[in-house]
Amino acid sequence: MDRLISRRDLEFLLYEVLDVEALTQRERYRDHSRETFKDTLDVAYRIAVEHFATHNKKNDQEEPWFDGERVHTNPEVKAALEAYRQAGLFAATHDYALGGIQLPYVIATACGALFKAANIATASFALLTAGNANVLRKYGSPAQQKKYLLPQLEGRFFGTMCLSEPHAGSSLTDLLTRAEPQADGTYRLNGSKMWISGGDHEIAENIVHLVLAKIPGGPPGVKGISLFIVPKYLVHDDGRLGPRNGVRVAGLNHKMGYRGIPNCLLSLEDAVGELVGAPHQGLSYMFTMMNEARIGVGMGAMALAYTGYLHALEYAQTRTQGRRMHDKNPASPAVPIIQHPDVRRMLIMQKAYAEGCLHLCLYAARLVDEERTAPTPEAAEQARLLLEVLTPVVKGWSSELGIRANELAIQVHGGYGYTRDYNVEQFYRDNRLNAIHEGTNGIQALDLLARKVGMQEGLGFRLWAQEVERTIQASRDTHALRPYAEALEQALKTTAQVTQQLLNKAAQGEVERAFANSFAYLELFGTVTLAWLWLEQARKALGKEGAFYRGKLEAARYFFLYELDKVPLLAERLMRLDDVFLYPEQDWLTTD
Amino acid sequence: MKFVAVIRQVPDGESRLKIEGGKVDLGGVTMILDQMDEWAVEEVIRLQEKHGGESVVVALGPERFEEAIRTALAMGIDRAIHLVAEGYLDPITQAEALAKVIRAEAPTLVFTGGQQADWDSQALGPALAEALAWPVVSWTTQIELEGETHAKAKHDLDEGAEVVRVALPAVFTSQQGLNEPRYPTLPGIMKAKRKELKKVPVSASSKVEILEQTIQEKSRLNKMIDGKDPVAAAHELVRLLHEEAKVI
Ligand SMILES: Cc1cc2nc3c(=O)[nH]c(=O)nc-3n(C[C@H](O)[C@H](O)[C@H](O)COP(=O)(O)OP(=O)(O)OC[C@H]3O[C@@H](n4cnc5c(N)ncnc54)[C@H](O)[C@@H]3O)c2cc1C
Ligand SMILES: Cc1cc2nc3c(=O)[nH]c(=O)nc-3n(C[C@H](O)[C@H](O)[C@H](O)COP(=O)(O)OP(=O)(O)OC[C@H]3O[C@@H](n4cnc5c(N)ncnc54)[C@H](O)[C@@H]3O)c2cc1C
Repeated sequence: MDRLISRRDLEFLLYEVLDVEALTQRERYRDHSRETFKDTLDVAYRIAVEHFATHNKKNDQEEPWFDGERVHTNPEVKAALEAYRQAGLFAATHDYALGGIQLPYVIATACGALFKAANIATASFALLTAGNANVLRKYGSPAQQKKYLLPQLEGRFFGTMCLSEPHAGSSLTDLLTRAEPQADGTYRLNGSKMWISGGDHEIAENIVHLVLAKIPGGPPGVKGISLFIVPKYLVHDDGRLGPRNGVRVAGLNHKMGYRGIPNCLLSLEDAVGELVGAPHQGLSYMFTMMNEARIGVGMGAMALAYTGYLHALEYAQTRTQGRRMHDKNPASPAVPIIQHPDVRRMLIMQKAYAEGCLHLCLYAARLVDEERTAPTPEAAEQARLLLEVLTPVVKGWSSELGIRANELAIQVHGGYGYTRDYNVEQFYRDNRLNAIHEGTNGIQALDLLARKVGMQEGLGFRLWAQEVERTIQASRDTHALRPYAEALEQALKTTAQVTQQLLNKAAQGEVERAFANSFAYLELFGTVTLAWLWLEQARKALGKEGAFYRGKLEAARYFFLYELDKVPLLAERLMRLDDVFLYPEQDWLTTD
Repeated sequence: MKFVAVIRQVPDGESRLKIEGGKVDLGGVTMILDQMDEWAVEEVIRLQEKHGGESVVVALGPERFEEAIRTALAMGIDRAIHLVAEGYLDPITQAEALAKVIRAEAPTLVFTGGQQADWDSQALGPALAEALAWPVVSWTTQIELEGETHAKAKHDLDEGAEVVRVALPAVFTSQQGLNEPRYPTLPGIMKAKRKELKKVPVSASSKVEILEQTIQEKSRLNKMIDGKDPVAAAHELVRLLHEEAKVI
């Protein structure tokens, strides 16, 4: 079996739960139908299985390398991305006029999940390019779009995002890269960019770096950051490639996972850059890419959790070991380990995390479509706000649960899971990145609590609560779901109280004390969000025949019994506002 | 010129099949365009790309075959004819029904899959040729047109291959090595929606009736490892014992 992501589950979530077919009523998606969605997912699935999954292990074992001049990657990476290109996947969500098919973002996200489950490193080249292209589509000038966007949509140029610097990752305020304006309207950039995924390679004709830098004399802090296009090879106005630009690879980082995509320290040495949009607006433009990339990171974490789960499930069905507890006869045959309660525990946990996070990611992706095509501007604005609130949860909570799921997948494999002969240890190492990049989960937790839930006098929080409430109301009168609805109602109330208390405290000036426990808040919010989505899945599965739907109900039961019960504890911890993590002035953590 | 491919839809080889009431239960099984038919479709598209004219797929089977037809259209076939028939039809009955439609189309040549992935039948191509009274070249690995009247083709035999010249119209069946089929493209998927798909009801009755089906038990699935390269074969054996049988 391919063991990527269950197609059946994707269909359940897309059509039975999220009613994605309703999007075909919108003008933008008018030409689409369930058939075009299915056919697109079919193509993605095949390319993922036949071209991406096939070199996932090789990517891990044979890292990219730098010969001082060029960065070398496995030839299979290029072949896979060529198949991706030929299928037209680079442009999928874009207008017909740009070579796209106006595919809903939620379907493109589902396709992306398949590629990430198959080979997260190779898929990352494509998804970075897609994010880069979206920034240029939104903010690039017509001339820039012609030179840099179209070739990315054709899959001839690839894109990167260059934010981080060696000394500044979480705190972009402190960026040092400078961009000096030139008489011809271009800029010359100097500085170092660290951690740049896909920062150099020979796979595409050219690489379009989107670089954050400061124009001297601009306002201090993030308000002084501008966004620049810095191509690897300069591009003439007619599209021909010119000489190499001043972007030099200073070295590659040797990573724990995600090894198939080179990660570069780039040195900008009088590199020619073109300003995107207005000066000093760079960070807000880049957030277009970052928000999308954050959904992408959450989705990647989920995809690795999902494929790990399917690997563990298959292993547990075929590995025999020991006997049922009541069977005292040593001569009776050993049973498949899936029959042991503790192994079932580990499988159900993985199922609850992976399938719950798949729902979360698709829900968020559908909000992108909503924002883009909602019938009224108010509805579009609501979708945008709700997405703002959910983005740190998609990124932060999927990546926390994803790592836990992969750890359990190893455990189900016993000693074999700890070896490189099996795939699960690689998933774990690959997945470990997702809690770090695109803003660490510590930063996501702060973003959620200190920015998002309080946005517009708490409107973001209220929109989220309304959605949870809607599911509660829809489940309350169903006998089988009532206990879940009631438990969720209680958890929602608790979350609202906690949120109020923390935001009040912060408003009273005790910012550090209020936000010191933001990670616990992310856990609380993430747990309630997943409980809500699991109730939604249970609601849609209830009364339907077959093991698939029964499995959904069981996973929901697990989630409410074993995960939602953490809420009171987390809430109490948050309400206490204790100071265990405070007083950095004190040297309590010293070892002397 | 006009090039026709005859196609079918089959369960994906990765699917787990179940028996329900003595019959294979296809509920929940992923269905795909038969791979050997996919080679036929690809070859027909290539012939059209080279020589111009028109490409057509013809399918005979239940409504759900439409998915496989869409795949062929998204790969680049111009239009489709779907002979709609629910239930099993034996290859001879199928060939007779197909021949009527294909004769009316008067194509330059017809391609079918060499062997059906689900029933393992190799009969359809030859039976169709018989019904049309056209020559047949089976297990084709190469084809080249010589004007509109003849084609030169290479085809596999048990222990070798032959190169033949055949008068057109003729029926060809596909074999591995014929080509590397393209994937449908996303723009192709959108275009496929607007292509002609003609439905023709078929009311033929099968001369063979299936009474009961069983599925080979997995434990009896013997795996043959190609021994041409002994070192590779040993590696493969170790891998299978380790990863699949999990005995070492
Ligand atoms: C494999 C990989 C690929 C990457 N790809 C890219 C890329 O393509 N482009 C790009 O621009 N960047 C990329 N990054 C960079 C990534 O976004 C940063 O590593 C990340 O933002 C963290 O920054 P840092 O490594 O400097 O850690 P630091 O910012 O030094 O953080 C160290 C620790 O301190 C915590 N911390 C820092 N500040 C605070 C705070 N204010 N409050 C609470 N906790 C705090 C963090 O949560 C973290 O736990 C990549 C990183 C990796 C590892
Ligand atoms: C790096 C490494 C070093 C090792 N060193 C040694 C060594 O020096 N000497 C030595 O003898 N062994 C050694 N071992 C073997 C190690 O002790 C076994 O891997 C471990 O006991 C698990 O056995 P298993 O791998 O066969 O997994 P399995 O027994 O197949 O277990 C697979 C999964 O099923 C679960 N499971 C199995 N039976 C039951 C049950 N009845 N009820 C509930 N759950 C069950 C397990 O908890 C596990 O999650 C080593 C293993 C590793 C990976």
